[in-house]
Amino acid sequence: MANGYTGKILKVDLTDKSVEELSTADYEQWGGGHGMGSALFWEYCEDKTISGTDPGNVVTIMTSPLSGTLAPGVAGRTEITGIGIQAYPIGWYTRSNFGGRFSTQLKFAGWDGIVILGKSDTPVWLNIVDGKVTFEDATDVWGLDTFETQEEIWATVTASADDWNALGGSRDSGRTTQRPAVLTSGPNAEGYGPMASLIHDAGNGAGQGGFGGVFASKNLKAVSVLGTGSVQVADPNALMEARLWANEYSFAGHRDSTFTTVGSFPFATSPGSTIGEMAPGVVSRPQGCVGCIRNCRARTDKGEGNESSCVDFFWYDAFDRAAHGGTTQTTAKAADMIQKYGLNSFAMEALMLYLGDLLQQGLIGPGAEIDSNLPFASFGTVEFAEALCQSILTQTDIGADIALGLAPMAAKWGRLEQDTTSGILRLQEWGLPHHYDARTEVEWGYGSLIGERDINEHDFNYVAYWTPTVCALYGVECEISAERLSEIVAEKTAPYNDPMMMDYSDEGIYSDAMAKTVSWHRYYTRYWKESILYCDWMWADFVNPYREDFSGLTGEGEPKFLNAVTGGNVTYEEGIEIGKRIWNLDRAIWILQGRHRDQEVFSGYNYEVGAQPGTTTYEAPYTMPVYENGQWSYKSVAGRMLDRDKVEAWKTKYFELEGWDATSGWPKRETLESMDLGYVADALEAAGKLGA
Amino acid sequence: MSTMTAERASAITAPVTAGRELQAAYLSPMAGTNPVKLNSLAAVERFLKPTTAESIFAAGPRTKVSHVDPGSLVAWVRDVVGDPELADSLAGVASSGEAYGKLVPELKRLIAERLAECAEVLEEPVEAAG
Repeated sequence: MANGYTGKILKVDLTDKSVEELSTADYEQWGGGHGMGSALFWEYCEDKTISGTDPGNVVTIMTSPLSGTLAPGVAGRTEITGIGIQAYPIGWYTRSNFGGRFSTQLKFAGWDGIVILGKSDTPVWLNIVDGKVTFEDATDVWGLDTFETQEEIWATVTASADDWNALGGSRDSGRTTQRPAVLTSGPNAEGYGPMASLIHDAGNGAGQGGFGGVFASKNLKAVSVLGTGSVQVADPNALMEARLWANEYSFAGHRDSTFTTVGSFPFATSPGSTIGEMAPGVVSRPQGCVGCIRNCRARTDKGEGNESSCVDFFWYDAFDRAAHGGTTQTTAKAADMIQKYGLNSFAMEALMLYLGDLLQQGLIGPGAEIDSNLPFASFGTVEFAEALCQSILTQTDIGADIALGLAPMAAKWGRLEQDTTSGILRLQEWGLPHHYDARTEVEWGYGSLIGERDINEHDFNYVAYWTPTVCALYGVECEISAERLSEIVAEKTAPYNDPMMMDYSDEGIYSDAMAKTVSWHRYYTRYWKESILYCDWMWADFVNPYREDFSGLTGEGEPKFLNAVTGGNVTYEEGIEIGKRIWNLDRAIWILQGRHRDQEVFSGYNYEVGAQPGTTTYEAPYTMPVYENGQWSYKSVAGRMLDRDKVEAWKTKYFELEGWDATSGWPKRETLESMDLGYVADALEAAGKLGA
Repeated sequence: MSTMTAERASAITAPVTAGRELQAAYLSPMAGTNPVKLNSLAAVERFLKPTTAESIFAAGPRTKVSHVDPGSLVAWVRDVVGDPELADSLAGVASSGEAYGKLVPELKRLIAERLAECAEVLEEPVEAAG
């Protein structure tokens, strides 16, 4: 049936080296990606209280019906789920997501996803070529970095090219010019699991959760996939029409008259990357994921920093500038380092900031409170970056402690409480690095706290923080007023549709409306972004400069592409409802793992320290929409601290909105049954953890 | 301004001691805000980047804004660097009420001029130590 799905999910048991086909149809109700992953995890992870390194952990690598199609800003994403090992003190069931061409190759090979169970008795990598699945000996690649591993696997798989590259026949009879898409951990990742990511090609990383370490704990080095088939689309004409429709609202449709509207616009931003400040003088060309019209990454003439973006560079560039008086090629080399070694760039960024503070206080170095012989005199150089990475990879010097993860590291140094209260160790919640500020952009903080990881979803961030903040900094009036923004957001946030959801005033951040904001955001992203896999750099499109009244594509665009591919008729609102169902299923898993509302507390600095100049978590300016004295405006909310009692009161409002027990944060039976999750309620009840 | 001496120039351009750096920040549209510590006038001059909102938005997610609180800069130059004359000049700019981005070119120019004045007396280029 032509509906975007291949119809098969690959179930792999590493313990007995067996494979099995599951029918995708049994899971289509969840959409794809995260939703399917959580459903499969629920089904196959028998004991959900285990740690992420237990052989019983179940890891899913899932695609979407849109993977491998022409749908823009979605076709190249892949979602990973499983019990993670990065969060502290409990490694929650969690997720990560990466771009590139892995999901497309998996679909072309005939699979909608992979479910990985058990643990191999010897090191292996998984070799998928269309319907053929083999377990390959990984002894020789186990200690290799991610680049070397991919090159070895490419060579191995393409050496048998005659099996899959035969000339002749039809489109789907067995030809491709592609190299296998490989997802791999770094060298010996079992030794530094909480810091270990999974890397695909040069710079696509599944960084959060420590899934590189989870792979290693299963004696699984890598998954390689090569497909020669294609994705069957229900209505190719509708898909093409949808793409042409979207073109009218993207940069590509207006190359001769680009927008002059002031603001940052996810869908309409110009394509391409020049790598810019990250490597001055470097010539580059755009590079992107399959099907994308933005191509936000780059390949460079020097071959350094290829495919890296964002924090891959930012983990080291400030220190490069400090050491060299400006950005040098060191930043690109450092970006390559963490890709090559499979290290979590966000964790490395927080680590560098922390080490810098400790260094300046004289607390780290030879003979210091934290004894270390790393070359701190070379802080900000390639030499230091390499030495730091190697110490983690080999668990030597302070790397032996860093390898445990940032929160356990600080706990071992006897500094966790004091340094997360002062804020010099910027771990915002669950021992995870501060990204956007819970004190100011509260939907980000609340979502991460009630969830299990830094949400890293910029839906509101572009329009509610970045655009008004830059406008305020440079004395430019936002063309989309705070009032108009609140109206647009209300239009697109079914079922709540409340303009007060954009109120980030001192009152608004604790309001019923902010509970709706967080709730809607979790539902929207759980389905449309984590399951259907729309890219965070293009969706949600709240504001679009080419649309009348600036009302973006969101609400109309997401189902348009999905239904063209599947032939279904899922509405935008129905997607939000499926997202709610997935969110509740995930919540139930965390409850079984031991979650209670009493644990859902930010690190001390969020309550004790304002983000003023002079503080480590310096987040000024921070201009956001507020509703005060009966009027909307953009206003600086920088320097704000959270009030513990008010946060607790907000949590109660939020839990009541979700239909969860306000005293525990546990879902109630009637709530779960209303979403056809009665079997989940049964499991919670059996565990004595059903909300009253 | 009063006559610059080699001794004053040396003091003004020297890196400050650890723990007395000027707290600044890089703002980015995808990765949040990262604190940066600037340890000399030269480091501050390099850090300040005149730009516009339009060019920042045009760069999409691949940009950074260098931000230092002007009031903090004035206080740091006065109390830590020990250059009240420059601090007064900077304060005159900072108190204009203009948006931060419109202050940056003038703040940068004043610091650059001071560094040039120091370099002339010291007869060597002024470099930050880190």
